[in-house]
Amino acid sequence: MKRWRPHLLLIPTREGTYYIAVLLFVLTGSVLREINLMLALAGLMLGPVLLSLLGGLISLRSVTIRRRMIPVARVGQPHTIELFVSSGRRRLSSWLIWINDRWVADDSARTVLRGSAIVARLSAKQTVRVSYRCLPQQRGRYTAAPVEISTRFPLGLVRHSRLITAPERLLVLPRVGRLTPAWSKLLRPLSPNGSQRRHPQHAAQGDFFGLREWRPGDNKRAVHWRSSARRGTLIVRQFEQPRHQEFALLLDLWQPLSPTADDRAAVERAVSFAATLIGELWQRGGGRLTLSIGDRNCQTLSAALSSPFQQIALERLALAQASADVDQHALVRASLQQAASDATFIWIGTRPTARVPFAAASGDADTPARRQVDVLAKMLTFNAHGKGLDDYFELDA
Amino acid sequence: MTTSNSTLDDDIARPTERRLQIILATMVTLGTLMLGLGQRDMTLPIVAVIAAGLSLYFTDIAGLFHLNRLVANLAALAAVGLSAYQFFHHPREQQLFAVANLLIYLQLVMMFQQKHLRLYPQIMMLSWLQAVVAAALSLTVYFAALMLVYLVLALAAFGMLYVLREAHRWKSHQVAALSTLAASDLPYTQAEQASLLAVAGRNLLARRVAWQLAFSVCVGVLVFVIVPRSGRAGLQASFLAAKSTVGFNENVTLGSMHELISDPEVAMYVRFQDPLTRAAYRISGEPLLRGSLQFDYQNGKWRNPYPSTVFNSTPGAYITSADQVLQQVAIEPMDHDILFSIYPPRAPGGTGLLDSSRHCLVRRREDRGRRYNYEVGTAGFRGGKQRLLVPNLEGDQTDNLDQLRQMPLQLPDRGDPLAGLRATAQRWIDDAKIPPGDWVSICKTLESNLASAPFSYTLNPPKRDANIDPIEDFVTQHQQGHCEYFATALALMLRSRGIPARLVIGYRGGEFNEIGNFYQVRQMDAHAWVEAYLEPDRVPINELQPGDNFRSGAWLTLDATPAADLDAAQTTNALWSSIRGLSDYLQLAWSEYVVGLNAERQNEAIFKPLTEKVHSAGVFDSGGLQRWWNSLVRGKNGDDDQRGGGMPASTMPLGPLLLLLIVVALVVSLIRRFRGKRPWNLRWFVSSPRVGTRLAGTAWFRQFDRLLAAQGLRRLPTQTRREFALLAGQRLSLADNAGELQQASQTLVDAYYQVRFGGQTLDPQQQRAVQQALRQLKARLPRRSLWRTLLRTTDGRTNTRTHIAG
Repeated sequence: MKRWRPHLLLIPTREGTYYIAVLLFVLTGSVLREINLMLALAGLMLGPVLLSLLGGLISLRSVTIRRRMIPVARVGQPHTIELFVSSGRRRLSSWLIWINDRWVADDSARTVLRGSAIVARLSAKQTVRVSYRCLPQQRGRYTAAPVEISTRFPLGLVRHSRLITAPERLLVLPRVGRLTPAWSKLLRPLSPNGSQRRHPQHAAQGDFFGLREWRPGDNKRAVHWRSSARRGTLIVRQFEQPRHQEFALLLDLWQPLSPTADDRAAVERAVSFAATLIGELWQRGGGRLTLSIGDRNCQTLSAALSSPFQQIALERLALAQASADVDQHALVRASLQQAASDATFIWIGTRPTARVPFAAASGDADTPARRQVDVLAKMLTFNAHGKGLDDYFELDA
Repeated sequence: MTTSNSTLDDDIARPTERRLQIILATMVTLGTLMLGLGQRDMTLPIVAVIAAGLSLYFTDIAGLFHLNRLVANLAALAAVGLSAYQFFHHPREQQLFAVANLLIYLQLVMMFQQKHLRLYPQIMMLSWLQAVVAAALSLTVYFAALMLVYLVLALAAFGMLYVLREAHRWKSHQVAALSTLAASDLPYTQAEQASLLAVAGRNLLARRVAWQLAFSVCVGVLVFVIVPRSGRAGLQASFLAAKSTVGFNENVTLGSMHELISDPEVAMYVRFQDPLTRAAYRISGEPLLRGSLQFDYQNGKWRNPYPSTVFNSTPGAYITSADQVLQQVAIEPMDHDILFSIYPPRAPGGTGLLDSSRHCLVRRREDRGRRYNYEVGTAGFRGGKQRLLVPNLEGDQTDNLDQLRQMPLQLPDRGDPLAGLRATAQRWIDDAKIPPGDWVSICKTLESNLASAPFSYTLNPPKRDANIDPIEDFVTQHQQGHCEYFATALALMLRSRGIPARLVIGYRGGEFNEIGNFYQVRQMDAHAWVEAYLEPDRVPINELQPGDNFRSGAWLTLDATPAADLDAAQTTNALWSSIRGLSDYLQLAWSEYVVGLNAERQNEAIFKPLTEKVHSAGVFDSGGLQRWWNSLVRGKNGDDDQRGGGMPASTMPLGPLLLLLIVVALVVSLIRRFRGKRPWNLRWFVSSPRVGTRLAGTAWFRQFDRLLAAQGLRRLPTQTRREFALLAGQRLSLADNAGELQQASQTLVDAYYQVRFGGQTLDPQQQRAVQQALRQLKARLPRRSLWRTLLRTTDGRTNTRTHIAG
């Protein structure tokens, strides 16, 4: 249930509580005993309290906040969020304004990101830029809660706070780790070019077969300077493209109804492994990837490996939610439908007991039995539960 | 890095914290001093002041010594125990002193503890409590001045503590963030902490404190004025009643008064007014304010043998004379119920209490412990002089003239201890050859003889012969003494001659305050004199005046105390007298309107005049506001003049005060404007757009300067105007994300150089460009408030400016 929070809040600080207690004591004593000097003193003591009330109200009035940030973050990496704090007042500065920002994960209200910044002075009609850094610990989509601005100005007796709505969303991608050399060894026999590593920037390593005019996006290394000088325009060399490898990544995000910490850790490890694999495959260059995520909604996407695809894939991974009702057959079916027959199938599961996912799938009418057998034969199976991935994958602490 | 509530250990924060410690020590010192003034005992406060200084140096600055928590707790417990003992073993009126002492003890303990951000507010709160207790104990106007200084310190301390806490909180926040973020990822820098602490910079803090003080005082005055009082007067001095040292004593014992008579404590304030016009009634000579009467003398002691019989009555019922003078008396708390007035009294309002047996005015017992105000009429003046012969009134009241005549004839009843006194009186009368029936001459002769050599006045009478009556010793052996000796000797001499006489105890004179037209009577003005009874047929004809009724006889006032000796010590220089007069006037106003403000006075002095002014001026009619303002500025209207106002301060017109306020504001404004200018360097004057000729064409550049100054930007001495303007333009552009501000700055400084150093004038196009640039700047930059514009210098010298350098 959403907790109600008032728009404007006044809370006496510890010093303020002491002070107000003394003030009440003086006021009561002076009125009851008719001691005029004590009444005068109470009046003098009332001044700072009123000043604190007014000072805070005025300081926070007409203050607006705007965020500026990259809307995508990654688990485990500090993310900077800039805040532009503006004063709409025509006179009077604001002093020592605290800004407490909070992001709540869409799928779990308990998962929050917090950040604070402080503005020492905000002059009238001025905009001040401050920033804070937060460290996301949990992937997913986050929605910005109203920004709380607060001040204890001018005497620290009363804390004023105000909530400013500044809707914003943040996508936190899964943590990316490192693949170990064992992974390369594992993958090398399956590679069409052996162990040759390719990178988009080094893609021009095939056989030269011709020249053409330069197009945006062409590698600068491919520019043929002599021909360019001769023709007066940029000319690039064209190389024969090597044959790309295709991968099919099947992610079985199973999690019991009452997951333990290990279960949750297994899910996150599986997602991180998948994200790392996608990044690694994109770095290798070329190829095609079919990503099938078995979560609450079994989803599959398949395309040539590119930066946009990687972003989409990582976004799906960020939002993937483990479930106890993952339909493994549907997952395999969807993957087989999208992936080429010679693709390398990689199965990443999170179940505590390793199970062969295709044991009961032989009778599936949509999938030829022969192909299923081939897939089973070629499939690389990994289990994220326990230490199943430790040989191939490392996460930074 | 510190993460607890301990003090900030950074070099950046240390100066701010040190200033807080100094302010706190001063605050504590002042709080204890106020407490000491209230207690009238400065022993503990002086100890506290020394301790504050020592703790500031040894504990806070040098760090050589501090109490650890265990020792501090034990010391605090001991302080509580000691104070509890004092509390339960003191009279009820002095229990507050035990509380005050406890506060000082605890303060001492805390001052020697190692300071941290949680301890500071505790020390401050303890100090506030001291101020509270001091407010309950203090009566003098000096408390107000001290309280204002204290408030300044407290506001500064609160402001600094707040900023320190914010800096500490920010630091803690950054430290907490370090658990998840790498140090390089933190945006925290020392510069940020410095910028936070700069909020507590001296200039900013001083300006804020000034505003806060003004606001607090306004609120304080408002609260004080509008909070309605109940019917009772303030109980402010009830705590002090037991300590009120008095010069006056109902039962006179010869030889004790010299200890009291030198007490400079104020006893009462007395004003004489015309009852109809309420104008001040000026008198010549020193008034004799009669208190109680003494009838029975035995072996150096006077007493009034008649039991007190108090009833509400109007003493004025016995007055037949129409020549009335109104006495307004404000009497301080005392440990007796006697009221004082010029004899014979008449209470026009009928509110006085009369003790018919003791023949004096009294107040209720419960009113002893508070300041008491009363008004009494009197017929005791004629032509500005106090009458020495007044009609006997007691006879009408008691209806027993015989008793009245016998009562003042009493002499010591065993043997003849006053033989020497009798013989001396007889000798003086014989020497003067006065017939026995001429009582008036006898009285005057005895009075004059006693007032002359070898008799002399002294506050330290010589040691008396214990074997004889003290007054016999005074007359026959040691002729030095104070008023009680002279009055006693005269009374007994008169009685020895068969003339009824009684001793009167009261006050004589006091200091006349020219500003407030009142007498300030101190305990040291306590006095004793004699009243001799004259039967109706012995009243001299030449003393009779229209309206006098001497059918019950008359009382002749006789004062044998040498007057010259009394006045000997009262020669002071004029300036000091003026200062004292003003101080006394303020004290009276303070006592009347602050300490002694009760429901009646609040209504009379505040609510009633205000509502009357509003109604009489017809504020809500057309033009009413103007009339109301005029009447407010001019002071009283006709009705008010008739009443004259019962209090001295109410006679002060508002107009001069307002004028004074405006003049002060102008002077402050001028000082601020020309502050830091060298008087011999007139460039600032010449370059004024109104006066300058050659440089008048650059007046617009001063607007540019002002705009920059409003943003807190100031030119360094080493910067040229061009460098400064361009850097400022860059700064503003960065802050506002607008490049045109930089361009505008460039335009302005180019034009300025062309005019100022190139000796050229701007063509119309350039002038338009300059105006456009100024408009841009004005539109984009925050404006200053009107008030700040009025108070600040026009060349942009502000206290919040920052230097900018490339």
